[in-house]
Amino acid sequence: MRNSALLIAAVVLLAACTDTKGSRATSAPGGTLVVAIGGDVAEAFPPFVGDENGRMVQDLVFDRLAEIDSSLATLGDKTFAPRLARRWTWAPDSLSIAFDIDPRARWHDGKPVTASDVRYSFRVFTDSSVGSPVASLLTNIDSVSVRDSSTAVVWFKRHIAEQFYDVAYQLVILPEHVYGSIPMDQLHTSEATHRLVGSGQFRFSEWKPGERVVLLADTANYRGRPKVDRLVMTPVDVTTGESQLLTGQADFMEAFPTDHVDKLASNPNARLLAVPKLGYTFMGMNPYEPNRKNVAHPIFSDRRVRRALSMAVDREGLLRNVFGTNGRLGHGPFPMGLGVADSTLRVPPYDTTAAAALLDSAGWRRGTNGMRSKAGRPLRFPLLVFNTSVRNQRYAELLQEQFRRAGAQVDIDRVAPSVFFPRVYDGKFDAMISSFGTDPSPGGARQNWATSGIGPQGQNFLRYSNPRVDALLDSATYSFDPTKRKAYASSAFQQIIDDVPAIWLFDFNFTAAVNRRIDLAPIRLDEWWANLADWSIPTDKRIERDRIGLASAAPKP
Amino acid sequence: MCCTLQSIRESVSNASRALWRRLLAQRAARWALAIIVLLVVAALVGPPLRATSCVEQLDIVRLMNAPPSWAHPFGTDRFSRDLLARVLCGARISLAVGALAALLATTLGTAYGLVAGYFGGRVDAAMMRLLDAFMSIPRVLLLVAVLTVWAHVPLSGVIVLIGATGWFSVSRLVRAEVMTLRESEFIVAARALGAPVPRILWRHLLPNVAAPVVVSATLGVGNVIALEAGLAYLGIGAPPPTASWGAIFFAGIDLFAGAWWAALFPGLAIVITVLAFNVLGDALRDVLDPRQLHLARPLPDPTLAILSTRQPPENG
Amino acid sequence: MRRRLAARLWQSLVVVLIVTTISFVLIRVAPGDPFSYEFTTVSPAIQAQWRHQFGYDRPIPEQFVRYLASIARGEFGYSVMRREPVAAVLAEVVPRTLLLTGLSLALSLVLGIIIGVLQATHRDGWFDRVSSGFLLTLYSLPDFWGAMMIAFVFAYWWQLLPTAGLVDPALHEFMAPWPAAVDRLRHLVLPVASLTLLSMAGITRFQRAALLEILPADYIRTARAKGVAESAVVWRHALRTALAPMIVLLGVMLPALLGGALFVERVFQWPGMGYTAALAIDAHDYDVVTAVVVVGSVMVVVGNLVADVLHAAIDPRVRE
Repeated sequence: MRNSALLIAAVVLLAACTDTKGSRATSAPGGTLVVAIGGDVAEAFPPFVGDENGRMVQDLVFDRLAEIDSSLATLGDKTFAPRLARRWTWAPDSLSIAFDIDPRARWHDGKPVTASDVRYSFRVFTDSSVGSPVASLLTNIDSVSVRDSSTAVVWFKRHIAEQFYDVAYQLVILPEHVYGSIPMDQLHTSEATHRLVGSGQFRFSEWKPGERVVLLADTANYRGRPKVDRLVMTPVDVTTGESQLLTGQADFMEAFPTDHVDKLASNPNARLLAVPKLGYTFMGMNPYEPNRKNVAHPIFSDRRVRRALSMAVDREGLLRNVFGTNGRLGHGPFPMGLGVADSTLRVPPYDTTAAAALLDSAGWRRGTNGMRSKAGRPLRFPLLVFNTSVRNQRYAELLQEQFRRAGAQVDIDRVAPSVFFPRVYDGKFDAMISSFGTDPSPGGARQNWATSGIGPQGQNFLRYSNPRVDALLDSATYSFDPTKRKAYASSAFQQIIDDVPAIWLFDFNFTAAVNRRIDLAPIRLDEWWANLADWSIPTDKRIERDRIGLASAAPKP
Repeated sequence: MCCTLQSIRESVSNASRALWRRLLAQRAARWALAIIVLLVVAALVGPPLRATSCVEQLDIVRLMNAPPSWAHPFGTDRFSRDLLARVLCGARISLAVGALAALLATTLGTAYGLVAGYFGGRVDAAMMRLLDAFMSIPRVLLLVAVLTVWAHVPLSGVIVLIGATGWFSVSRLVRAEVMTLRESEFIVAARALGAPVPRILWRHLLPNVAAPVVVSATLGVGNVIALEAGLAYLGIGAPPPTASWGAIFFAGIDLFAGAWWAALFPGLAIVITVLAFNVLGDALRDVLDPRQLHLARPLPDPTLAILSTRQPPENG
Repeated sequence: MRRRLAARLWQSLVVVLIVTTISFVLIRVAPGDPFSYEFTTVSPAIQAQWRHQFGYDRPIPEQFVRYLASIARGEFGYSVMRREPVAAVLAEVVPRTLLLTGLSLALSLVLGIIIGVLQATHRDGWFDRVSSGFLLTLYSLPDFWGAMMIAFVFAYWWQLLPTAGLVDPALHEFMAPWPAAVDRLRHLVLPVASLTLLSMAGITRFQRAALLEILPADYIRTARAKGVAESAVVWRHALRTALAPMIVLLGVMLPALLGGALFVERVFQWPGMGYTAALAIDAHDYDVVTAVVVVGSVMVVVGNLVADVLHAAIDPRVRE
């Protein structure tokens, strides 16, 4: 694990030090990247995007007004690079920012990007019938107005530290002339949202559910064309993906099976790439009854029980079993790559004796069969997990055994993601294994752990509510001083850990495989594809599919 | 002489003993029977006899994926559980699912066939059309669609669904037999004597259609075990940590290149068991040729002869 | 004969109607609808509006009647997941599965007849014993094992043939016609082989048994004794007699073949009806699932009808 930490540090350092443009060896652009994705692209139209793959497509085909840099600093606007907005001007009262749209920016159908597109995008993202998951992150923005065709003014409700970040990171700009004629409530079922027209360096070519997504280089792009010609995303299962990487049929796989990582050391086609990500996986415990929302849960409403269960789990052992040496332990309600991450916080230790004592004192006593019960009710609960994550399912079985030794009987409930998420949103679970993929801001933690995050607009599924945490997270979000932010955030996180709403299992750390012929650009911590346009393939290493050229990929019947 | 009730009864009991001898005379059938008996015994007494439990994870860091050894003859799986114990426990699940679902299927099919064959005419025509419809729906597709769309189905539900979709061929066979038997003297006599229909079906017809029913049931067990293993691939079945052989196999399959034991033993268990039931079913079919039991009856329609003696595969 | 055909047609129509009803009802009465599983950030009022727009809030009998009416018009509903009419989806995937199952069926029939005849004419010889044992073992494997084992071998050890997809995802549309056809064929080999292995075992066993009944042993002995070129006469007779039961078997094998195709398509991620249905099931795209089950069943019914007609044409005993 120390090695992984060093590797992370090295990557971050590299990302911070390298200029992403201009320092690459020049060779003629070209090449085809085949990315093996696990699971299909569910939604790629920006307001609907919820899954990783959809986000990747969105980020390559569309642009934002400004782009966060590799340090993922969210304060102020100095670290953001211009994108659709070539410059911006703050009003003296800091309650509005005027964005000057780059006159060279064009949509993929040739029409220029204008300020009314920005206004339209804001409307779509915040419309209630569209129901974008991003809407709740844009609450500080009051409105967007058009000063002239190339100037959009964003009006804010309050002047806060991450004001600029809210606009720049969350708002993806859509073409009004393409989608504006469709009524907002028809967007979810309209075919138009499967034909993506954006302004990004890649243009959309084809999307066949279950088969592939094809993106082509936008040669007329205002930022310059990508160094590769074509990007093909193919949904494959893990076995096929692995073999495709090893034989060179595919070029990138984000989640190469950790069991087989040693094959990459000697493989001529692919090599290992550690891809840290911002996210953490945990086992959440619902303090309320699943079917009666405001009734306390007979097992989990007692903090002693939650703490005892947490201490009964050998988290390190589980990590070794599932990840081998490639895992990172979860430290709390934050990903380790976050600026305000704090590994010095006190987490409940692994102590089965103390756990047993705690359960005894909470009234859960062992019966003759070894299982605990209290007033006739057995210590038994279902554990909900979704069946597309091999890791989560393994953790579920391991946790089941750990709890069995502690005297609790767990029934594993494996369901499809389409069943899992609605149940979790609705609070219809007792315990569940899930992850939070966070964005770079500590304010994102409010979505997951603040009282304001409870309800359909947030992601506080465990309905965790502690006014002290709310206040601390607010202070962290609105504070302009980085040291104070970190202190507030740490206090908030420690409080959350002490309340034991969940057991922190592992930090996202993917062992990716990438084809050796590719020259990578720096990998950004939150999204490995952020600088994909700068990935290149030297001419002397090109293979057949790299030499196709930029012919349009007309779909075959 | 041939077809009075008494004479039928006598010839059946004589035939039974003769059949049994004939069955055991075939070497393949002896082996199959021996294997099945061994499996049933193993399933019953194996799990308690084996020292390690089939759910306990012994040492998730050091004992995961341990190769076969004296302590663990089948090795351990990725959660450091003893695979021999797992396979023994899996025997209980797989055999139980196989037996119960086959029993259900055979019962449903026999009942349906008896009714359709006995009543004939419009009733039979309608029932056969309905049966055609049922048989047209690809079984696996329907099972997967229903089991996934209805989300939470416990193992008992899986058994019922598999049984409820597997009775079609049996009913056809039974119906064919019943239709030829319907005009036999003893049935006509029973009807003339005013015997109620259920009694006729149960007492008189059922024993005489025993042959195809028994063969069906035997082959059915094997088919259900194989089908259930297939459904485990799709994630349908008993929730962890209990596991049928199919589930254990799938859990171990991706380690096949490295930890071959995790998939080999449950895999062998499935193949050997299904093979045994198929061999036994084949042998029973050879021995229970219905033309032996019905002595003076005109040769049936060749198509039907094929269908009745050589049952088509149930895999649908 | 014509009246019989008309009667069979009419009966087939009734069967299709029953099948459609069963599939429709089973899927519609399941809890939830396509909209309750997606878009949880959308307000319930809007979800109710979509339900109303697509008719999911009507009582089931009424939904069924409208569904029948739309099928009569050639529409099969709308796929929310793929954002296109289900009819378009079907037009794309049904021919693919027809190709897959057709090739497998043809291959298994040919192989089944050849091996079955060889076994029956050399009964209890070494070939008979060995191949019977092998086929019995094959028959005892769970449905998709053959597919999985093949996929494994070709994915991990012998990367000669692709184990996923319809065509090469990056290169196919840029290939010249001949290499493109080869590309398609290469992606077809493993799925067809797997599906053939599944069905071949059953067909061969059936064929052998049927032949043993119909092809009297003494006929063969006599022919041999007479010194007649055994292969010519026996084979001709054997093939003729083999054909009739094969056609009967066809009708029964079709549902099995389609079910096997579901597994095989899923293992090889080959985008035919089965794989599309699997994706649609996971996404709660009910219209697609219903349509696939209905179309699959119709294929079986039509297959049975054709088999019946052929059988009547070939075997005069069956014609009343």
